Amino acid sequence: MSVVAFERRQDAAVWTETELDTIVAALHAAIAPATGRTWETGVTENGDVQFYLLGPRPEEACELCVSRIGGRYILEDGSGRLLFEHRNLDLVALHARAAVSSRPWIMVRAVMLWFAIRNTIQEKFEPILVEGEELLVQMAPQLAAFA
Amino acid sequence: MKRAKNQDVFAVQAPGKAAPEARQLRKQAGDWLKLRRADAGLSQADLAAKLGLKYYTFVSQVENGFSRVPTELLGAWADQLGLEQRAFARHLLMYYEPELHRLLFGAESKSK
Repeated sequence: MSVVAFERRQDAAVWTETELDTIVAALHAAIAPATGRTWETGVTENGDVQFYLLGPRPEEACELCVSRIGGRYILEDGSGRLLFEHRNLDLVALHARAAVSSRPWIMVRAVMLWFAIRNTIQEKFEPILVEGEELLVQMAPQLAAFA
Repeated sequence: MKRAKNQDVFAVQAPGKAAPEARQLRKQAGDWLKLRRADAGLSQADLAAKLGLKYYTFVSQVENGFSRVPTELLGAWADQLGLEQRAFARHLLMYYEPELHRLLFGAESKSK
């Protein structure tokens, strides 16, 4: 006899362990102790659950909020700006991670470094190449005469 | 960080962790806003709709004391609660920027 494993009905007023695991895992770096950030949960007056990512002390202001309304997950920042919404929590968690990630700054730094290197190459090596080119232009008729 | 401690029903803080003053004041502001909304006969969803928000979750965020009413929404929020904008902003400043409020207006009761 086989037993069909029905999915347990979600209690709207409580996050499931899986849901919390998904969000906390995605924000793992953002809530590392060194960052001073913490997280808490709460509910709306309608009993919809909310997850708050709180900034460091003393303000401990909300930086991100994930809410679940009727099976849909809503990602907002601390000013109420809607960042993303989807039925798939994994996707929402990914967006939450991107919203607090320091990666964009690393990207900016990498691009700046690349431009600095390119600039240096242009400044240092281009004159040498141009000089060689000029020399070649001058020498070309003589070389042609020998040929 | 243990999940059970953090997953409280009404955004209660983890035991043994003293709430910083800023946070306590934000919570008081949220409670005051909740009362004023109830006086206006609005639900969180009603207020959010009147403020032009797609979801009412931000109203809950503010009333639970995790966020402030953004400056650009202060006037509209006051209007929807049937309150005078200047008095509304001044009252919230008492919670959000108590020192600034004290410098501008002196000591004042929060129980208005």
